[in-house]
Amino acid sequence: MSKLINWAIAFKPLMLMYFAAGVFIMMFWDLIWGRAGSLPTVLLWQIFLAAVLLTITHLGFFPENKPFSRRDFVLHILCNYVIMAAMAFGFGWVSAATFQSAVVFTGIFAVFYAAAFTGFYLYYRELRGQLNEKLMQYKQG
Amino acid sequence: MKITIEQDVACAEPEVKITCREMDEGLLRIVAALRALDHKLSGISEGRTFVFEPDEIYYFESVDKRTFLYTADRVCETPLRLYELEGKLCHGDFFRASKSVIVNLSRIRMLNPMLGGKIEVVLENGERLMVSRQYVPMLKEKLGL
Repeated sequence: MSKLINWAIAFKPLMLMYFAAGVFIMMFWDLIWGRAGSLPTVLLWQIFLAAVLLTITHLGFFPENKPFSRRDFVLHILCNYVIMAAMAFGFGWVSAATFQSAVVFTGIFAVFYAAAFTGFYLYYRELRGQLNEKLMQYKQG
Repeated sequence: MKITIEQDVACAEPEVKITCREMDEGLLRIVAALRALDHKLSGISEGRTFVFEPDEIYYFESVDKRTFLYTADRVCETPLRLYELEGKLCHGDFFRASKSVIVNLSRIRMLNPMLGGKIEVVLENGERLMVSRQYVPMLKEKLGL
């Protein structure tokens, strides 16, 4: 039971983060192409489904108590790519499944993944620096 | 158990003397509690009792309702429960890292924040432990963050 509760506690922020990122990307995409209007409900449900699948994959394959190894990192990219590709082509976020659209999708995925990775990397590097600086100060009395 | 208290104005330092046929778990717990008051902790390993300064201890872990203390080169069982140790030590260098672990902050080499909000602790001996999300605010407070 406690494992399930722990899983639920970990699930919520991660799922919300994926969902928020999905909504942001869709809004950003509309902004780039100068489209006005609002995101349709069906699209929000699709993003929600993608967020749930990405979170389940993340928590299922990459336990929280283990830092990411290089192999985990590659696996994480692949898992996210496969799920997002299935969603993008399945729900028609990207037009017909041609070679050209696959290249466009891969490019978009790479840009956003790299941006998210860089953001998290910088945030955790800063946080690690702060924590360890305070730890050193504590140990020095 | 017979308890005798003798008051003597000439006594410079209180002395606790236990007279028994043999040490049992209850007496060991009393000794451990007295040691903790004296800022020393005792642990049993391979039938021998060892006394440690709190600074020597890296962390305490509760496994199957038994509590173990870990030093640089020894693992000992202590008769004190984790909540008792928390009460005695957590106002000092120790902090609760999870439901089953208490860690000595002065024996931590590095702290690594993890994606899910937990913090990985790397001890001076290279051992790695995890601070649960629930206890991260207490660690940060102790560090003044």
